[in-house]
Amino acid sequence: MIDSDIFKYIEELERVNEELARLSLKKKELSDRIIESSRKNDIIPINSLVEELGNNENRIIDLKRRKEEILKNIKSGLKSIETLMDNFNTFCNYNGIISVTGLPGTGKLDMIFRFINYCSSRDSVVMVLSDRERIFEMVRKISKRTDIMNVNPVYVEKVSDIKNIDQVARLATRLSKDIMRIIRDKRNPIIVVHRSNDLSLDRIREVSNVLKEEFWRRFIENISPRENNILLIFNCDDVDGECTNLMIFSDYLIRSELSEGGSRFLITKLRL
Amino acid sequence: MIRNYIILLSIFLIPVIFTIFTISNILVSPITYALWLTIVVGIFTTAVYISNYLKSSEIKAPLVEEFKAYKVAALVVSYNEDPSTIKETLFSVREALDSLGDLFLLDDSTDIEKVRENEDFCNKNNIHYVHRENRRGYKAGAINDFLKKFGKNYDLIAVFDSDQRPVKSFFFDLLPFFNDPEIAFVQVPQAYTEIYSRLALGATYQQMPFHNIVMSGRDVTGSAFILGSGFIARISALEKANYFDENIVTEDLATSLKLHSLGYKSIYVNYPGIWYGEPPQTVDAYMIQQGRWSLGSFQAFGRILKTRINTRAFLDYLAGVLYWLKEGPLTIVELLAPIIFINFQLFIFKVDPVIFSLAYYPVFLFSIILFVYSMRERSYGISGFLYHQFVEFLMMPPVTLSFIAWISGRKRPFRVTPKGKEIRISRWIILYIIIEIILIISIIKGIFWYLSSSELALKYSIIVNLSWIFYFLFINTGTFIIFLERRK
Repeated sequence: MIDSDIFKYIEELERVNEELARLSLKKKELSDRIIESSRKNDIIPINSLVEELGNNENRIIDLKRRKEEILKNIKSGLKSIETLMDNFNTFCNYNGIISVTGLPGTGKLDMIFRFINYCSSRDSVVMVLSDRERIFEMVRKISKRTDIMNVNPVYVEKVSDIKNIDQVARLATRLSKDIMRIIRDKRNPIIVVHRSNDLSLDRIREVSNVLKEEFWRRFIENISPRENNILLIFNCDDVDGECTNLMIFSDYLIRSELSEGGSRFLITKLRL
Repeated sequence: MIRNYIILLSIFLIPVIFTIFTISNILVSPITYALWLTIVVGIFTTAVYISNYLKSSEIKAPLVEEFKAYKVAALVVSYNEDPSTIKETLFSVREALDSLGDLFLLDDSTDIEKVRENEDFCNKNNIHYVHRENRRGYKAGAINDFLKKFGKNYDLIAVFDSDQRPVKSFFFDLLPFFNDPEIAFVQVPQAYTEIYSRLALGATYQQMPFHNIVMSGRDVTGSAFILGSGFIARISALEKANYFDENIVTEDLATSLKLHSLGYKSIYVNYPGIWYGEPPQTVDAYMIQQGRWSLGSFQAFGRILKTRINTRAFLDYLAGVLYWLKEGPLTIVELLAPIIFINFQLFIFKVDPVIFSLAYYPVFLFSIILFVYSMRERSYGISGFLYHQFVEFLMMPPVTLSFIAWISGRKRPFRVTPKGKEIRISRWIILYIIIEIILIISIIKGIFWYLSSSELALKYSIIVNLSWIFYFLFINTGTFIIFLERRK
């Protein structure tokens, strides 16, 4: 059973994010106008602008609060739907985005490798940002046909330097173009990103959510998994809410947990 | 190339023009010229540094590359180093190399005990041991001999000094860059992790802007060069370059230049690919290292002038040589000029001291502020800057000696940087004590001269020169923090 409310929450989350992005831009515009008016000593416009800025700020605070509530509801609504193995066949023929989240050490990577090994009809590539030796070992042991796509070791540090939306756009576009260059000869490829936390800006606290979402939006737009017959799997360590922004863009969410019998996976369809 | 000569001549002719218009006394005219040259070189190297700083935040190399398994020969080179250090490095390289190739110890040691110990260790641990009786070409010769004998069996070589240890993912991280057949080599920063003395700390701070700004910028401009250790190179490219240049003490710089002139590209990956590295721990070791590096740069100067590379890359290479000129002989001129003025009352040049101060001091301060600012995110700070200045002042004598050796065409023996953690007071301290005394005497004489003079312009001139003497006194005194460190 799919918790039907979850789709309402996701739709609302998208609306909230859009409005937050708009309000952030408005905030900047209002601040610029206040500075401009203060330079000209125009008292009356300043008062009205300050009032408008205050209202804008209150709305931002309300929306952020609402966003937290929505995210909580989404998380609590993620109930087990079907068992994982039954879904391997379905996912093998699927083009889109799957996010695999869960705490570190809950068996995400192992499950992903078993899945790509299972889907022998498709080429697979693992994009590595961290744990390189471990990934090489797993390719050797579990899925020998899988290719490895190495991310420039400087990349993770450079991501931390990003401060504005132009830089985000440039980085996401360049990254996705480089990926498309490598996979152009692959057969309906499955691309595994290990870990999405390092690829995106999600782990950087100083960066606003607007920029974090913009990164994913640009990146996914350029890859266009459905149009290009790609299955994009993000392996995300669910630490400090670092997977939250990614969920907005994912079609399926697979949450991993450790239970008595080993790893347990809960699958939720996030997009209709 | 004509372009190279025009650029070089401009740098050396501009000071001639300034000298003609400001000459005060024919006796000191060489110093007048050298002082203007110092200013021009300073502005040129600062401009190149700014350009590199602006470029250093870019990533030129592809963000993503497919991993392909190349066959690698990993070479650890040694010459009479402590066998225990070599063993640890060999283990580290072997772990990183995994199944991607073979590991070799190229041991040029002349100490029989060490040779035996190294060979035994290699035999027991399935590491290929290569020993030469002659040391022809030193490190470059050892690598070249290896390449000529075994090179055809491998795609790439990786070279590590015996005290530089790679991280476990070193080859996984860097091999994908060789998918581009035009890439000749990939270099990572050297690491200075074993800091047991103030000299080592200063040397570490000195390396920080070089690795993070200069080399990162040069990666983008296409002039990043091999640093002697912690690099992977394509064997076919080295063959085309006629292997490593054995006629220059820093074979890496000359070979990089040759590869660039052949149209090959290089990548500098500014990430901690080396987890263990030993800096020089003593003043004497540091002097030897800086003397060798500067001599190698001076020796490569002729090749740089004749090379065919893009203008921006040429400017980088030229700035590299001029840096050594500035830190060696030109620093001596900077030091001597105010001392001569105060003690012999000889005007070095005829310039209104107020105009000079207004024109030069802002440039001088700007370059310092910019330098510290460029390193703001690198745990460098003011103390890093000061340590950097102190050790840079220490390299004035060996760099000047290298310059003299190069100018006079005299050969200097190849000396590896001695390792060891024992700290002794270097005999070089005598020179710095003499400088300290001269500076203090100059200050006293300068104050008396100032008090006894009535002409305003002269008073300003004395103040300007005294300010430089105070600056050098501060830097020179700072070197004693390094010289007089207690034995550990």
